[in-house]
Amino acid sequence: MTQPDLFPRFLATVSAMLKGRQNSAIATALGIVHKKAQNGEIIVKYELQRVEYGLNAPLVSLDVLMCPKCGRLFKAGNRRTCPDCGVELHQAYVGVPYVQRSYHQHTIFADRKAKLVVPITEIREAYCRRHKDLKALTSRSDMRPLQSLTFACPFNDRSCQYYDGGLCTERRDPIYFPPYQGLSTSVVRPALARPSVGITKPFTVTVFPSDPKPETGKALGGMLAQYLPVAREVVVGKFTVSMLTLMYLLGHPYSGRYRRLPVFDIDNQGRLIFLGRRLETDGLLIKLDYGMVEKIGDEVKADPLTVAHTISHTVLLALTRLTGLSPSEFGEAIFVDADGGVAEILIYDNSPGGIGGVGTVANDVADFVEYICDFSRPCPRMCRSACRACVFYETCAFGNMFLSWRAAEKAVNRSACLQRNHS
Amino acid sequence: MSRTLEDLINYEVLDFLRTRHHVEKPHISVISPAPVNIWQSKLCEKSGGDIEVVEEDEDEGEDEDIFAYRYPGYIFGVDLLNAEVGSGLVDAEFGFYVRTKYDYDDESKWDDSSYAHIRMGAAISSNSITYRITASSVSEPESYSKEVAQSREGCVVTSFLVVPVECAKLADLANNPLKQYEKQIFNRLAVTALPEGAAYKKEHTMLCIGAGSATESELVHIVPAGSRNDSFWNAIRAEVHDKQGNLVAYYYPSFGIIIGRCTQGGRYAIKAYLVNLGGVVELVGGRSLDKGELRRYCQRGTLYTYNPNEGASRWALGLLLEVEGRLRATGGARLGIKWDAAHGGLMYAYTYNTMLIEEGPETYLLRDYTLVEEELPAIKRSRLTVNEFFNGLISKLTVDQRCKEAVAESLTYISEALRRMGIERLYTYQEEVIEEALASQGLIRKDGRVKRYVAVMARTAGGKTMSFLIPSIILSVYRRCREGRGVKAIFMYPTKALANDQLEEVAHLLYEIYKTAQAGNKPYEPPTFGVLHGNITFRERSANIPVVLPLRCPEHHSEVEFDGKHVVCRGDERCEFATFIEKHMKFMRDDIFGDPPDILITDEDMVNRILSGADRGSPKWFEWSIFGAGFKKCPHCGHVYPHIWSRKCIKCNADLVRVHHEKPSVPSLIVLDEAHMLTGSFGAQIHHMLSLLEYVLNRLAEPANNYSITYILSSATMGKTEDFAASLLGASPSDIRVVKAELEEGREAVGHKRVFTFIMPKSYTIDATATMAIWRLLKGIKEGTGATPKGIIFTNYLDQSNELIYALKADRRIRQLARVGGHSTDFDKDRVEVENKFKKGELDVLVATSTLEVGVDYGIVDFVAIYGMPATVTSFIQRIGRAGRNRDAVVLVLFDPERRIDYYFFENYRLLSSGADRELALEREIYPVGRDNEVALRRAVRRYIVASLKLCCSAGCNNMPNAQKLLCDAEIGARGPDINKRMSLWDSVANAIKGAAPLPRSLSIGGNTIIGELEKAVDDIKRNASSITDIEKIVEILGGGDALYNLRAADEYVEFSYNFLNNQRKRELRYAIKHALHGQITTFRGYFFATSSVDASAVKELKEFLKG
Repeated sequence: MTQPDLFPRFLATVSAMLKGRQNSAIATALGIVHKKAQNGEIIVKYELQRVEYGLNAPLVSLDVLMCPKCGRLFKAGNRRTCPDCGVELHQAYVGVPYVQRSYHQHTIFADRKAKLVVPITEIREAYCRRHKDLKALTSRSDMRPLQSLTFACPFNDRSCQYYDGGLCTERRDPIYFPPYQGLSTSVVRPALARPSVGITKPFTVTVFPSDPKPETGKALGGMLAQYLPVAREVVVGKFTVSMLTLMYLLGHPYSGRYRRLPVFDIDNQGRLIFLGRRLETDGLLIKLDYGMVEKIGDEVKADPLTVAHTISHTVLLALTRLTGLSPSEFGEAIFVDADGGVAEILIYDNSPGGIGGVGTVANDVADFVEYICDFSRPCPRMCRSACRACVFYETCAFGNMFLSWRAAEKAVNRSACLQRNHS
Repeated sequence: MSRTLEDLINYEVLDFLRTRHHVEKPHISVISPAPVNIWQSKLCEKSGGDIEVVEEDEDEGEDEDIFAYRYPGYIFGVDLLNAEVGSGLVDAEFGFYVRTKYDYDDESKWDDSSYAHIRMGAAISSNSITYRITASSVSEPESYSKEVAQSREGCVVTSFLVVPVECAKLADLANNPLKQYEKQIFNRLAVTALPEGAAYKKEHTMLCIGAGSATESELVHIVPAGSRNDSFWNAIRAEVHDKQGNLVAYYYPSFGIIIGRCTQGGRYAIKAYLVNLGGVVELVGGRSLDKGELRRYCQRGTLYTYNPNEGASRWALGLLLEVEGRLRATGGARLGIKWDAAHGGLMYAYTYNTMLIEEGPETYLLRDYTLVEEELPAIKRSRLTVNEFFNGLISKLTVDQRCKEAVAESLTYISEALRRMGIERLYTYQEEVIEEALASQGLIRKDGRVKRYVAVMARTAGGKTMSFLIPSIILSVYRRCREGRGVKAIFMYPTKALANDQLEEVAHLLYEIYKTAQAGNKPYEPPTFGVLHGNITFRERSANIPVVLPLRCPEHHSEVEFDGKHVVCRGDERCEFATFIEKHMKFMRDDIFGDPPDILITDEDMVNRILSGADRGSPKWFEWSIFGAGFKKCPHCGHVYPHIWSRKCIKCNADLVRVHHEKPSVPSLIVLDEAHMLTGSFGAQIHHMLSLLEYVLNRLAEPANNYSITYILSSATMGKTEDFAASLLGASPSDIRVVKAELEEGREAVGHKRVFTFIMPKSYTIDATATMAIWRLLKGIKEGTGATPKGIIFTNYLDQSNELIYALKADRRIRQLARVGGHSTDFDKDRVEVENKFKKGELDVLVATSTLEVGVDYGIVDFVAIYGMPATVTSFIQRIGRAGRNRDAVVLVLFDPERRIDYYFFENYRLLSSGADRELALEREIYPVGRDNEVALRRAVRRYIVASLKLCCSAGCNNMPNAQKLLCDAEIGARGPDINKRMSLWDSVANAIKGAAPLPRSLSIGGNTIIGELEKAVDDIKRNASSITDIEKIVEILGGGDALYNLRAADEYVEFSYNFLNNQRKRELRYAIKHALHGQITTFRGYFFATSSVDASAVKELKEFLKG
């Protein structure tokens, strides 16, 4: 049996994400995806073989090292230890865009050659003009190591007019980075960060068929339906899913989800480049009752995609706890088609063939629903929609956008959860 | 007098992190303002006011703060879902401080007059809610109380607020700022956790600015608390100074409590929250706020006041500090909170930003940190002395008379050696395992059903190794007597570090046995042992380079090294232990294969590689000597060859034709230590590997020997033990003998203690709080004991480890106290190096990933810090097991405020701090072993083919007299017969392979049967027979070596190349497709890199790709 055409489902998923979010950077990006997909202007690289990593990629510069002991800065070369202190060098701080508001519509294309993440040497005063070398970086206060970060003199040049007890007073203000090329509007501000993988978070969409492979599906009903009445049909089976990394979201490691800038990879013909993967694996398919999804959405002021995505996270959190497998062992896929009145969730083992992860649900529904109850309770911080304390999932494909804990709370049968406690 | 551990943590760590005097703001016990400016002041109208954004991010800082700044949330309290007031009373009280002016950086100058202490409470009865508030500055306390009448049935949710707004404004119903409060805060909180469909009545009581008497409407009770300059407002308002020290404004904080009570349809609920509503700024003398401060105030409700005497150090205003609460039910009322570890823990209570700490009957303390002491009961010892036990074994021996004496003698020596080591009695569980293992191998009589699958569970440092080492020694002595040399028992460990670590324990017991025998002047040779993993090399590769062996001398506590010729103890050149090691331990590959040790310590990957991997370079059939296959050894240089080798030695050209080949024994005891790690795709592949290994061993064993394999699974943490062991070993749960360590009861139970400290970082990111907590802990222990404490910090991910090492090393206070190192790479070599440094005492603090959580004993470890909870209680137990080990220890649990799972454990911290509850939690954890994983099956089929070929070389191929020679001696045809003969040979081989497959025939791969898959793979080889020159070619035809070697994951690999380090590594595809877009950042060996290019073997237009 051949794989069904998943392209219409991909377009529908992107449309569902776009709905009601026109004034945001992510919506702008998804709008571009939708348009380019229809125009055939997207290519997918898959069966990846080799990835080259450097310190100076088109968008990122990470090539300044720092001695943690004396603070001296070095351009990355062959040196790995400080010549004075002998200790191992670390990468120095970098400047990262910080988006103040979510409703501005920045989308970055990787071919612009703009340095969106810049090393600390981009500040003019980082170079000592007198010694023609990099200065040191130090904190003036141990208790405020970051806020008090300032330049210091590694040359111990007491004759210098800026020398003040080891510090370089050429610039006394807190360290900031220059505005970024191509990002001159006031809403994007530079901010200080240590190098981190959290600066570029992937945004992935997984597309899946609406049914498992023939003769592999096993329906789970009963107890699960009692606790999660919004689930019209639950099936464990084999699926072939198509994963696509569309872009990454650039920001400070602790930037919120709506304050990041979507960044696309494009080729010289202006086509978007996605990274793809086809994966045959075990999946837990939950077909939702669209009427109930809409009803919950109305009650908590959320769209069907948000409701479905939140339920998906509740299931993922429960599954992670149930199996003890790490969050990266699972993947999630959402399909919402408002026109067709369809909302489906697929939670899958993120390894070829499946690793028995989602399969455990079939064997231990009782514990699984208990965890569903635990993870659908009100946010422990009582946030407005979603946060790291409630329905965020570490490896969320959508950068933890489109979520509402109140939707999760409404989606489960609270009375059943409490009765479970009584028993 | 030295302080206790509890005092030390309380004073040095917890007090420091939570004190209101903490520079800028404390790390914990903080409540920040709600993310909307409730009492919109004109100041904010000018700056645009608050803008509501759907799905707004609430937990991130502003501008320069965002590096470490967090907003901890504006609510602190609890929903009780099963509480009943009845005729009694439920009392809820919250206490906290608000800052009223700047403080000092210097601890000796801390200014207590810079704070006001507030207490707010409510007494809830069946028909009323009575509020109270006490505000105290240093001089003047103020208190108010208000009673709210309430009917017996239905729901009421009320609030009691301090509102720094003119009372007259609140009385103006048309333009009431209360509407904003209701919309943004109250209405959202009121509906949470109410019984379904319950309507509620609301009522607000507000202390406001003004004089006169209270006024009441149906909704609002307005209580004037005096003018701005009256004592109440004076006591709580804060002076706002700019950086120059000018008083520019007053900040009037706003806060309150929300209390609800509900009776509906037989369900009861009580809610009790403290909320921070920000505050109101009043400018002084025409001055203005700095632009940044104004924005911070209008958007977040906070701002800073500056201390001009301390270099304009800044102090956060608008936060509630040192927040705590207490709930108490009296007079027949009940809170209804239930603790049930078997069902997850805390029941009938939703907590918000707090833990519920039981203080007494129906009394709970609410706070966001706690310290729990756990006494570790001793493991139950046998009533028999070791002499009695081993004599008992001797009396039960069923072995033939020829070897009985040797075995009995060995048992006596073991018994004596244990006594010399100070062990008078074994643990009861150890005795059970020893008996079961020996009985299953037919060495002793035992009543009842004897099982060959044994699963042992005992806590870390609980003597598990001894339980399987002793039967291995006895078995080795017996089978050596009968069959001569060769491996009798294989111990498999999931990491190299573990294998090395266990080697020492094995060596020390065998050395004691050796010494005991020496003392008796009897000619006795204890079993030999060896270690084999990826880091163990051939002699020629380590020629003239001293190799430090992974064990220490028990006599001199010094390192032991091999100088190329002899083993030398660095503590004493004539050390007897070194002599023993040289004689009895195999630590070079040549020795392992040329003289297989009785007990082999290795890892699963190595067994898999030897069993079914490609042989790079020269054919290495001889490696199968560890499985019992015959081999030849060059008498001149010691190089090892397969037993059918009929040419000259390729090393020294000696003629090997006449050299007699040896047939070593076949292992019959397989130990899988730290078996809980064998899950997921790793577990699935181990399952298939064990089936293949058993098949091979059975083929190599002499049928006449009644050969049977005994498996021992060992771990401190195996929930649902029977099911897990059965799925891993392919047995039925009823075939598994589970042996769990029992604990002592009563007086003898006193062991050591662990002091758990649970901290949820609130106002800074976890790395910032962790750095502070670690610094204070190191400082406290060092000041108290004078010694540098040793500790391990466990992170969950490599990039976390990278970032934490960075933070700790960059902190000069920590650098002055301790040497920090850690896992900043996935490269084994570096990891082992850093672990060795820690073991040798060259590092004091080790930042580790989960790879270190199992088994390894680092001797003295004073503390373990958990940097973010692992996903399972299993991992947690393993991690805390690294500390203490026969001494008291600190367990510092730093929950990660960015992860949901950490909030789960934060609420249910008792699952972590109580041994009994941990056990119950463990029982709920499932260890999936995906035996039907198609990738694992596909690999199992291919591994079976390679292993079958090797088996042909080692044991001969059925009905193929020439195959053995053709396959092995001629290296698969390179110098072998012509193409036709080779094709014909492959036909025969293919038939032989198909016939005897030890594969799970009931499973299928992509709709194809296992045998179908096998035939397909064999056909592939046959089709390419003409090009096959060696085993590597076959492996290539079967899909490549990586897939066959890789036991750990089912995923494909992608090569990552890092130009700065001039290095490569392979990473799983699932990681690669998320981190390989242009410019994306990844981490390797402690450095961060960005993608510069990506190669893929396929490119398609999106539409085409999705068409399939």
